Amino acid sequence: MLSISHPIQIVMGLIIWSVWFVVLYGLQGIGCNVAPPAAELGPWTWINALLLGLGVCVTLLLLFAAYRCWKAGQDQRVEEDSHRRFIARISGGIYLFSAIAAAAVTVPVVIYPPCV
Amino acid sequence: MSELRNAGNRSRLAQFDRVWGNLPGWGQLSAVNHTSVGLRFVVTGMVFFLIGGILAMLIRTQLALPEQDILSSSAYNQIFSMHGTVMMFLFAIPVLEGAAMYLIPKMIGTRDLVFPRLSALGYYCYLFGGIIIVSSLFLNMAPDAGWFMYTPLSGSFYSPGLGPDFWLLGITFVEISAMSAGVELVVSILRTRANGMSLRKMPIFCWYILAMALMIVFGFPPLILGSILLELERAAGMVFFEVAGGGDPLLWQHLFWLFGHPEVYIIFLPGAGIVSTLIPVFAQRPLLGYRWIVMAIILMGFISFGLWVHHMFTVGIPSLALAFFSMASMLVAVPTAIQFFAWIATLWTGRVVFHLPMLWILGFLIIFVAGGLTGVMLALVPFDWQVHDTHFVVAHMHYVLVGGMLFPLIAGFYYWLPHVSGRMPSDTLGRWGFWLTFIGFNLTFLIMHLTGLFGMPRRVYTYEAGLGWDLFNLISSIGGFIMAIGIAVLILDIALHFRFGQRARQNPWNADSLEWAVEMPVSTYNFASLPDVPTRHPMFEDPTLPQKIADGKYGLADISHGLREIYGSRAGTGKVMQVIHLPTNSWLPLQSAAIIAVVCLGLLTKFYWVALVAAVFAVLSLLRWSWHNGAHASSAPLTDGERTDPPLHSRMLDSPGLWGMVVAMMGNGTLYASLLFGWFYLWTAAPQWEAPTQGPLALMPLLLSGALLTLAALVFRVAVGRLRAGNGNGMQGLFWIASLIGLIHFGLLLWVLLSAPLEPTELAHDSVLTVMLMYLLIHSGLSTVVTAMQAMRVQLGYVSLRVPYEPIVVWPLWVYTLAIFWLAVAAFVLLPMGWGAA
Repeated sequence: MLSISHPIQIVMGLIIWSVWFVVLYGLQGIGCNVAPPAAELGPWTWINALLLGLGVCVTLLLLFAAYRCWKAGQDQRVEEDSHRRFIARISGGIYLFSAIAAAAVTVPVVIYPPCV
Repeated sequence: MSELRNAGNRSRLAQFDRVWGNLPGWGQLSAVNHTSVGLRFVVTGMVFFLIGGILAMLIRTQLALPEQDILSSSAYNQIFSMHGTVMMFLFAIPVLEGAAMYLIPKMIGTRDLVFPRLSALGYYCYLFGGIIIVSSLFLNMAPDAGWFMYTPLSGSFYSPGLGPDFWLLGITFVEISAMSAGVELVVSILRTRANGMSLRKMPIFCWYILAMALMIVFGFPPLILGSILLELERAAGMVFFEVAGGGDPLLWQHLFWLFGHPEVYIIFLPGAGIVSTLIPVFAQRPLLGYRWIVMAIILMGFISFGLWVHHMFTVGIPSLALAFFSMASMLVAVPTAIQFFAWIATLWTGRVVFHLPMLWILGFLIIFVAGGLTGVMLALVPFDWQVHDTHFVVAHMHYVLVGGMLFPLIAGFYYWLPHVSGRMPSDTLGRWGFWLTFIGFNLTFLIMHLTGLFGMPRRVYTYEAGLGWDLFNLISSIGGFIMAIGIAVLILDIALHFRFGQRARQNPWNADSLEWAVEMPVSTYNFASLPDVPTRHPMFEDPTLPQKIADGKYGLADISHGLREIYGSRAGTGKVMQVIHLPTNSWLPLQSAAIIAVVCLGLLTKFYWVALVAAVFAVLSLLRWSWHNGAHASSAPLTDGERTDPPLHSRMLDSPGLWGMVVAMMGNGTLYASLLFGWFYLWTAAPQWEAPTQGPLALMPLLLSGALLTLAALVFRVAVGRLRAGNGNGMQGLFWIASLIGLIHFGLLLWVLLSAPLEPTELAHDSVLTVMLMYLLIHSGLSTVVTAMQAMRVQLGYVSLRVPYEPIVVWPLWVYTLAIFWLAVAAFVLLPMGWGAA
């Protein structure tokens, strides 16, 4: 697993969020193109279910990463004003925000039909 | 004369001036140092700002009263299109790039940017591209399809003149400058900071510029691709945006806004960086919430890429997809708010002094909050439907851009003016300038929200009386002219201060950052010795730092060797690991940019053979440039008794060149990803997409060609592996073999293209395929040529175990070429075969 103090951790949460956002938009488009569900089903379609399931997984993954960074940021063995702690704290905050953002962009799948 | 010069250091500093200075007279054109190039960007940008401003005044004059015919509809269309184009592409981005180029080395404690010739090339591309675009106005053939050039209006059927061609070719030319600045700034910030300046000790402005530069690298390629495709459609009759051949005009909108929305943040981030730098200075306390702001910058950099479709809420996208983008548009308000709270907290807990720059910051805070709030309103789909393409959107956009960029920029001008002139601005004239601009701006654009809500569409050249818009437009026009007077006072103030301004003392605003440790007026080398900077507030902690630096108390103080030297440091910790030799004044950037300008003009005037010949010369010029590197006699030739602690960068495996190559490939990869997006978008969404029943490419030769490419890359990899292991045996031979296999691959791929029954002027499918094959050919050709050059350089001793870095720099190009080839095979050949679509 990638070290908590690796600088790439700072952007990893948002990279995951970006990929999720592209997948979300892409799967919705492809799903509607390949097998569009009937409009009267509302949000109760296979496309919405798939996107919701994936969205929950991505959010949980990001929350786990945020927790890992938060723990590292609390590590008393690491000097308070250190590069390692700085990376851990920034990364933790960004993972947390990315989790919230991933959940937020997924919320519409429980409200809207996918192809109308 | 700077107050830092004394009898003890004068002769050494004069030697620094000679080594780092520009050549006299016409030789100034060969200058590459960041101070000269950065200031040139800023001054040129301001000239374009004045041109854009005059166009704005023409617009307000026309709209001041109903049913006016001062401008014809055709002239008005050209003027509003050029106003947006000039302000966005020729003023906002370049002037901020210039400011960043000027400031960054001074803030991170080094003497120059890491690729100085690239800075100069970028400037000349910008200058020539800008001249080409603006010249269209004087030829009465300016683009008139709006600054975002929507198809099909900008296609050859509805715009048969040269206007869109000026735009497409000129903007693409200018964007070479943006991309080069992006690469340059990223690598400079990450790899050339002062010893001990770890990421958490970096000035906050550098975080903003790092994010901006990376956003340029990822944000501009979609527009570059879109411009190339649209120009190919207009000039060569290929099909990308025409529905009839299987294209889709909405593809242009996607490509444009994939660039266009992040661009707003590319402009805002440096503005916010200026605010975050100036507020602590005038609040007389360190910035509160440094870590929170860093987090907000990174969040903004990413989230802003997820908003592009909010410019397309009315084009008929399903509600669910609209909701994704609506949510993302609201999410981006969070990092903006984090910064605002940090600024307010800093002001709240400080002792604010309202010097002139602070006044402009205050103007920013008010205007940008208003613009941000209307932005959240526009993120709501039903509201956006109501006001789409009305003056409400125009007002919102100006609140965001003028508030978010122009006000902080002027604050920054006033703040850093003593750097350039050694003098202080006039407080009285400056305050007049501020209040006139602030009042004029709000009078113009606050009222314009109402004009839009009352239903006036944007981009209409006149309107009937009695629709309820008359008074609003008159007030906006009066406001516009008051603002113009404010800008004139500002220019007068700045011009007069060079002659009458009070002499500035060292660090006149009592700032904490390193750029105030340089001489005033500034020298070309910034620092006569390079200090360790293990703190975020070096000037607070040691106010005598400027004198110690000038007296040569720190690193690289010896200039007797006559070479331009800086430190190269580790990206995370900022620990020094190498000494980088930088190139001196050079004509190569001007020469290369001039030849590229000929390519551009050749395409514009349809003299394609001129463009072709010039393109060949441009490639030769750039290859010649690459030749003058590393251990070449004009750069850092091998000598006995070289420094080893730290060693020269060209004697190491990890060099800034490698970082530059990787960052450039990231931008290149975004262009490729945009092309893949275009392919899949047309395939799944174009209403009349049509694919041939049989795939047009000869499959076996294509796969054989790919196998050869893989083999060539493997051979190159063996050579690089040996180099890394300290074994130089057979390196030249391996490079020749890789190059030869690459050449055979290139020939075979070219045959595949030429022998395929493609109809790029009939089918979008074939057009995209043709562009993809040409893209692959360019990369294969480039990898082959530079590898052959490596073989020659081994022969001449420019590449060896002692100078190993060049093949390491070339290796990512091979990896990239290989990756795009097989991805293309998968996406364009195998997937359609499996799907039964081609």
